[in-house]
Amino acid sequence: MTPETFASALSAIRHAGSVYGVILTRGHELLFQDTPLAADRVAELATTLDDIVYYFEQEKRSPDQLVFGYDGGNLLILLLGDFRMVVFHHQADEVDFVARASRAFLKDHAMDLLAHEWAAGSGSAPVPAV
Amino acid sequence: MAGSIEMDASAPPVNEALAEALKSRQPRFFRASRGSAKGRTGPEDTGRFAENLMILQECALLVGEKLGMSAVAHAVYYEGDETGGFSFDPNSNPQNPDVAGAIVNRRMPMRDFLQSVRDFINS
Repeated sequence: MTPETFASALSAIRHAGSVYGVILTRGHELLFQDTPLAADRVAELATTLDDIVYYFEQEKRSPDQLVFGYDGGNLLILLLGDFRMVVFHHQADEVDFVARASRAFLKDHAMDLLAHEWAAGSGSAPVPAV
Repeated sequence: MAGSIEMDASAPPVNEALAEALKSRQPRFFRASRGSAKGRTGPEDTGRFAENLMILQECALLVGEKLGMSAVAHAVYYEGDETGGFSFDPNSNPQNPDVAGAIVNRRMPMRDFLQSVRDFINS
């Protein structure tokens, strides 16, 4: 996945349906963000997601999708290894459509990165864990 | 919110309801209000719901705080082949709202899951 296709795929999700924001992180690294939030808010949200993932790990639990509905909007959170993808959308009914598109992107991107790291000799052989 | 667990008085004995729900992969519904959770599928299952409810509420509040969105309406998760979550009952007292939720042993579309919880609230 080239930087252009990476940005293009995320931009397509960002502009699908009632989606109004997308954040992608890998651990503490912010890979992409297009939201109405200020940068410090995005950083705080990423830290909070880290805390949530850490909590679940301590409890030996591994949810891979969380959805929170608020009066002002809905949040879809996908967890895949070190990757966390957050999609903000207005229409709660769109959640499954948004999740399918986002998960397809995330799986492709994660596998692509693993393959590159393996080819570069800096990672273990890619295992399709998804 | 769910500090104690009660069995619904009309629940069948010895988790028959749980066995049937698991076999048919249908949602097991629960209610929670004023610190206690109630379900028809046994104290262990109701306890799982109560634990999930507390965790999801806490997560939703933490995330919402960062976004300036404090009024949580619902939360749902997928974990393995399980779907679980809750929705606040919009007809209950806003100062002390009731919650209804469910757990089901399949990855149910989240829209359908939330609709089933709303149908349960209105039943």
